[in-house]
Amino acid sequence: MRVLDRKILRDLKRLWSQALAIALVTAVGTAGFVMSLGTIDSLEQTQAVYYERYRFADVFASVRRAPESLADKLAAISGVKQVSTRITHNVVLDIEGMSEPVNGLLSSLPEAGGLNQIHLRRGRVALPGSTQEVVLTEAFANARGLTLGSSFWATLKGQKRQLTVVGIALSPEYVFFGVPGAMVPDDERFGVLWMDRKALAAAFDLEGAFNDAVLSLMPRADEAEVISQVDALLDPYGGVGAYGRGDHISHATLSGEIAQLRASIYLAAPIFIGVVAFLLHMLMMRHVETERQQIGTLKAFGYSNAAIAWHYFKFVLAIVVVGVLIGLIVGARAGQAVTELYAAHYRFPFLEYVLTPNAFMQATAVPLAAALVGAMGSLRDVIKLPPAVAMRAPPPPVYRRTLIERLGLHLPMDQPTRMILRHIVRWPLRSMLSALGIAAATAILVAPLGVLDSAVYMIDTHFFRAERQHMTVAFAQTRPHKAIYNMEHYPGVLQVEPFRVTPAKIRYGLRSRRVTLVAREGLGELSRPLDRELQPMAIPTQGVVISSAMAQWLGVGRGDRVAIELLETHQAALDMPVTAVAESYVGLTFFMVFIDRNLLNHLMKEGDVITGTHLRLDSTELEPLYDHLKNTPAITGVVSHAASLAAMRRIMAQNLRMTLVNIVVAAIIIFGVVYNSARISLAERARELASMRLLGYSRFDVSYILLGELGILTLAAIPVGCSLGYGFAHMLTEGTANEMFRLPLHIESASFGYAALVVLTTVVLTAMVVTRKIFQLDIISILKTRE
Amino acid sequence: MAMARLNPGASDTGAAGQPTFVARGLTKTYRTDAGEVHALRGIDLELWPGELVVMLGPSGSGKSTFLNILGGLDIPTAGQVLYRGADLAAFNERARTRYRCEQIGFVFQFYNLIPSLTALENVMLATEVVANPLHPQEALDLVGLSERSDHFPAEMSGGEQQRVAVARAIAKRPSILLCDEPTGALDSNTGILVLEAIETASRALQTTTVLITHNVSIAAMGDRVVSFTNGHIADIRTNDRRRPARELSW
Repeated sequence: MRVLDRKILRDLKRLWSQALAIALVTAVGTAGFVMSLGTIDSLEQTQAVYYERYRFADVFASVRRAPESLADKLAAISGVKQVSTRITHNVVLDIEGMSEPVNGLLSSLPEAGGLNQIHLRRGRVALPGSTQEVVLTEAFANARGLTLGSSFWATLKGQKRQLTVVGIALSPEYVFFGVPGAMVPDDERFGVLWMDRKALAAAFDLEGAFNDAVLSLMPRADEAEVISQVDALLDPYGGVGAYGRGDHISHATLSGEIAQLRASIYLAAPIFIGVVAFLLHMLMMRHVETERQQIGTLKAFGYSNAAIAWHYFKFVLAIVVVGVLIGLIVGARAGQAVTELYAAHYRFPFLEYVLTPNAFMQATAVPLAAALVGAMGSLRDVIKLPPAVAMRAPPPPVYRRTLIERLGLHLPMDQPTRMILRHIVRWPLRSMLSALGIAAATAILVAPLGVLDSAVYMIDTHFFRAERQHMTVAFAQTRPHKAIYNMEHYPGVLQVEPFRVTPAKIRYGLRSRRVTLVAREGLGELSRPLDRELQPMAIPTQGVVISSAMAQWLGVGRGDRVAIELLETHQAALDMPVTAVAESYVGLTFFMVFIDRNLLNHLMKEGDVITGTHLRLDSTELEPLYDHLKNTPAITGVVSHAASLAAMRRIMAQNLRMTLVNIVVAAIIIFGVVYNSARISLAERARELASMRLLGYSRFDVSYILLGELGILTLAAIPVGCSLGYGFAHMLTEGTANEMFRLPLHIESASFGYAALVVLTTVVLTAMVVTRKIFQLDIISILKTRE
Repeated sequence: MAMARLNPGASDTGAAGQPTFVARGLTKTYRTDAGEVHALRGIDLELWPGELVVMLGPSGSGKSTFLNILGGLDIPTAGQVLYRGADLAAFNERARTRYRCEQIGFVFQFYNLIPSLTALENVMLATEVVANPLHPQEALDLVGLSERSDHFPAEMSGGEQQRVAVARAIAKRPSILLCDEPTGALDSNTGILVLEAIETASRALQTTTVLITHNVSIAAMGDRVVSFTNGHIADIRTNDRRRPARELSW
């Protein structure tokens, strides 16, 4: 080993605590990168393999009743690779020991080689012709405690039938899936049941016919073109509009979550580079300063600038490489664990954990970039230093009065406070960077808390202002409006609010999209759209009301005219004005277009009909009501809002746990920044502090000088960090917007307070560590060495 | 060895009564990697109120260690130092801090001023921690630096900085002024200005003043001259007359 390299080892030993602090921050960042990149790669890979192996379709279409012969015509569409037809139907299940009705989606089992295959976890598929055997989604079976051999009741087309579980399965189509009309996936209240196709066909009068088709596409096929041709073929049979994978709720949600994970990395990378670079910059500037004379000597001996700069850069590299190695090992392991968690959460049948060389390279390149940035200043100083000057002690730093003092304002303060202020002003860049480091950590805390607050606000707005019903009941077919009088007499029903929904297509210019046309009358009490001020809004008797998300997407405002195509009728698109824009945060309502019920019935040339009702209930009489609903064949869906709310809250609680990770990361960053700032300040000011000890200042008085500066910087950093965090939260909430919900940015002041508290606590704990060093100052040796 | 039994009352500035310091059998041993270093090997000495003692001796002779023990910066391995009858070794950290704060003024070879404070503010640093200090400006007047009070250390010469250090040391009205090589880093003319400042200040405040130097020429300004060799006191000499600093030269 060369002598200079030996020097690096000894320097590292001397500065071990600061070097370790920086290596730790580097390790945390690197681990985070490897973990996230590994998780993203693995999830994408697993998703892709899962889709491919189980032939997940590209286009989905529902129809009222189409003859099987139409399948060949669908397959003949240019760009279509394969077509599978199915029979699907929503049912209400009656499970023993469960009073409330549960929703199920009955689906015919995929034929061999067909699309959307299922992955059997246990048991077998239903025997051909069996009218009782079903295969169940695993999540639902687990949530309901159903296993092979369990049986329950379902009402199929007015006929109550006992079904027996013979298999438990997973499907790429139902990674995320909820009961139609519910806000979030709820495994307890929604399950998919696969049955023999013949049995289903018999039950729903669909022999030789289908009501659902899925298609896979050739590579580079034009999806939009295929969809329009599918629509053209299915239209005469009551087609309600085909849609691509992008609009498939399970796929969109899964891809959205992976995209969000990726977005958070791009947010974290610059913060991380900044913090590590800053820490290295501070350490190296000081290190080079104390070694001026050695640098001069080396230069005098004939070492080249490049050789000396390389020597110091190796010192930086040594620190960063240690951090990167720790980070890579920890990150790769954590990545596998996290991916397994995700895979379990998404119920993938298998997991492809991949850690690509690319992930390793990215995770290594980022801290190395930070090392380069951080070392730059000090290396420039090393190169610029002429040997003759380097051999002399540096001139004392020149201080000035602070601006306020120069303006003639007399500040009543003691000398130690004056020393603090002038030191901050003397090194403005360093002070600013220290404060920025603390601010970044604050922001890391504020951002996720802000996102959670926003989610709570969204839930509050949705469940307590807009959708206040206790339950929503959907009918299989349209029913006359007078059906509500019937329902009013159901046990426990306090209020009934009818609605009618029908699928439609909205178009403006080149943009068009499938929507649900929701028809109501006037100002609803249970369910109503909200205006921009979140006040309930009456449905205008003319035109349509669209969501703000839809308005933004289409690029329309109040007064613009949009084309509405009613998919259940065969009439040409209607030209209608947008009479109002409704604020909405929940995905379900993004794609809802509100219209007056009488207007819709008139447009559809039907009588006074409804397709469902919202109910307000007396919670003491739920059991008899459930019984009643389960035995009403006309009802195909029951959504309990209390259950949706509970499911939403469960998701929130999981997210809250994730903020613990952020606290640890923020604490390590704060420790790194504060500890290094304090140690370097201590090294630079040891002489001052020792002089003060000599003058009779106590150790606490002396600590005040160092820690007071940190205190001021921390106090300055917290509001900056809060604003920064607000910005991050804004980026995150914008990035979170998906098919399920859009978060309105709304941060409670308590969250700022909480973040500030964590920051202050960490700073105080770090200060206590530094105080020990101040207490250990050797006054005599400091004061008797030459400046 | 001549014991320090001379009656300092004989000196023209000495005061009778209780000595400021009494050192008895004072020993200090440092443990280093290279073995034990005996910095002091049994020092017996008394220092009296108002007297100025010059300590001479080569490097490593123990004079600085002795000064540090007097100043409460270090504690002896054996023996004792009584300050006005109180054993310094028995002081805890807090008491030592208070002792330094209230009784001691230090001046070192290196000025140790706070670069972020002006001359006046550096003096105020000292006056702010004691009950009855000199007015900071008055302290600067005593060392002849009234004009420079608003200057930062970086704007002053070495001699001026050292005089600020003297002003800072005496501004607390200490009863003891300890100067370790105060002119070591200065040329002769500047050094004399600093010595004058120490002389004036110590006389004005009637401090017990200990002045460590390598420079034999300075010995003439003391009431007594104590010579250290190898951790012992080799010699104690009483000057008939203190020569004013301005008459010195080297």
